Amino acid sequence: MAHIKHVLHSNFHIKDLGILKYFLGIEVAHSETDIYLCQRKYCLDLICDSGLSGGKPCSTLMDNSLRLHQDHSELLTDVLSYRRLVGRLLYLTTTRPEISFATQQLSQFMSKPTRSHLVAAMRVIKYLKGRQRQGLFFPRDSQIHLTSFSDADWGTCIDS
Amino acid sequence: MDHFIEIQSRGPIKGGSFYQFAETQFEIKVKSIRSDNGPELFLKSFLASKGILHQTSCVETPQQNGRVECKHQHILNVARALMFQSHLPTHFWSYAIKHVIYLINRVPSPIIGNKTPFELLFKQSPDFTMLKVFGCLCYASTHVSHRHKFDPRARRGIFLGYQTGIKGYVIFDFDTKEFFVFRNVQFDEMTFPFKNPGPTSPPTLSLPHGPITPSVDPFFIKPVTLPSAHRHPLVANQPIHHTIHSPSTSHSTTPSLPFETPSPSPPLNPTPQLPPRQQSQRESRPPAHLANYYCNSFLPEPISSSSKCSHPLSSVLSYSRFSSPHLHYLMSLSTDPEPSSYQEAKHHVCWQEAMKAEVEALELKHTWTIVDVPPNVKLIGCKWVYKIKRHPDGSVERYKARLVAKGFAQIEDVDYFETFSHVVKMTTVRVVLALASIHRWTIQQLDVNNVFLHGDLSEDVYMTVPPGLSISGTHKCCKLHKSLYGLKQSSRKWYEKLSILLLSCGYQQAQADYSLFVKTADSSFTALIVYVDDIILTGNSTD
Repeated sequence: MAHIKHVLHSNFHIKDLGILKYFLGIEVAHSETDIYLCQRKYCLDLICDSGLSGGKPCSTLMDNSLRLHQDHSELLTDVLSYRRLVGRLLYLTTTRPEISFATQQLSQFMSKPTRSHLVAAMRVIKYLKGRQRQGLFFPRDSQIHLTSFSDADWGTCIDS
Repeated sequence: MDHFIEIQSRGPIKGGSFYQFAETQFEIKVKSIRSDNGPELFLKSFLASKGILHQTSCVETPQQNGRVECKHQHILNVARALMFQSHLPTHFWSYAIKHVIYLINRVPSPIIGNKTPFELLFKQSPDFTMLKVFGCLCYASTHVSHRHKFDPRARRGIFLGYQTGIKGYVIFDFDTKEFFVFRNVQFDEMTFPFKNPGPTSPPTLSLPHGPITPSVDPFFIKPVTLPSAHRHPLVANQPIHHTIHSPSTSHSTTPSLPFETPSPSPPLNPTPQLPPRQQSQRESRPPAHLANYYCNSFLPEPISSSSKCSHPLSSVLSYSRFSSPHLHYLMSLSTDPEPSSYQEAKHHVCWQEAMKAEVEALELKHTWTIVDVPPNVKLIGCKWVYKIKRHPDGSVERYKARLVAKGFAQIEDVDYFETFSHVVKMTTVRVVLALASIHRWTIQQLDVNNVFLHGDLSEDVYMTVPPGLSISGTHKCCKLHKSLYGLKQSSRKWYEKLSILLLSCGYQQAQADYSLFVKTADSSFTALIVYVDDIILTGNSTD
């Protein structure tokens, strides 16, 4: 590692920032027993920019019975902000796998978001507000397993 | 069975009526009465005629009358709480006491098995739907038959409890100073009209003291659900409506009650309520010695009260709660604006030096050579971007000027070909970090300075001479050899250069993610994750 650092430094000017702490908005905490990744600051900024910093936290991500589809409610005038929001949620799934499903649902309507989609997106943000510090936890004594899951549920999709 | 009489007032005790009541309602014979030696309790002839044993405590030993004293204390404790909450004048004490008894009889107690006294007596749970907050603001609907179209639909009052035997609320109308019982009432249980005393004196109600006392009955009365036959003996000896009209004429000096506008929260800005002052017509200005300072954020008091602005910003925005270091930071932000163009920046020495340093750094790397403008070539513009880097306390760390090319003017296939550049997938980052965690690798972070300036340009890109660069002769331009910030291919060029270097060092690009470089030599393992200028370096050996 010292060798490659030296090579890089002689070719470009490199600043050695030491132990990895903050990378692309991901905060990394090291300890004897684990590594912990979280995007607390990113999450906080997301909540602030969506204007919900004074809002109530919400314990669930989505309404269980909610089936988002291309409905005929009022089209959003500010389409860009919806797309930006979903884009940021997509990035947040890096350390928050639990919002993946909700984000995937929301991202289906990037072209024509309506009010109901925005309400669902705000619900996700309220959920995040309650647990900004959660992230990924890599214990040092775990084993390497490759597990895959699949659940294609075309039946509930109203649009197709 | 012992029954105790709770003393509500110093009036003559209704021992007789209680005896009758207990007998009629509950078929209970009063066998003995215990009291202190108060003269109002001496009903010797009555007690003797009914054969009731009258036990009295010894002189100066209230302990012997403990049950009554404890109950007395309990009632008064709760009543005080009600009075403090509602801020009612003490004239209303009797209503408070009556309401307390109503409440206590409906509050479960662990002593009687977590049941309410009401439940024990009537063998059914009490009805809580009529419970309201004592002393709160309420609006009683006016009588439909007597109002015409433009009469008020409701009258304001405060809630004072319940009337025994009537399904309604006892309400005191503080406008007409009248008590009445009514059913159609809207409650605002968060507002207590007596809570905000006005600037004058506390309200002195001109009410005769005696008749305020409600129909106090200290017994467990099931108020409204009794069949009418049972209700009769109770209401017979008490007037149901004890409407009192206050003698307002005789008390003409009574100050107006302060609940004209009961507001749930105190006003935020007390200024508008001040009496109007004589104000000078002269336009107020900040003092002359402050003329050279920015003081818009530091005015301790809005001086705009006399200015023409009807809604000054200072009335809604205040800097007063910021800590002093933060205020310092804010002030320095507003005093030192970042210039947006070369025209603004060239007058300041600090920016001139920053630009000079940047140009020197660029020339040191042979970023460009000055050439004559070739024919048929469209020059790419360039622009200075200025940024002040600050310490956390707001003081200036350094002035940074960066030359950027106007890449949006580049034409595809002429000025650039490929622009795609790899960035690492977040999945790769996660996997590498997880592996590093399990194998206890050290993870380090590197940052490349001026990352885009390292890329070598293969295309011929001509850029206008940056403003501020003094060049002899006209019709010159810069032929770029290195990529600049703003060019479309900058990041690709950087990636090319980095990957060539790393591959020459024996690193291999991972097939799944080209931004992951891996090197295995003997037992040592090193991995590099590249995200433009951020590099994560991990491996099992530190040397």
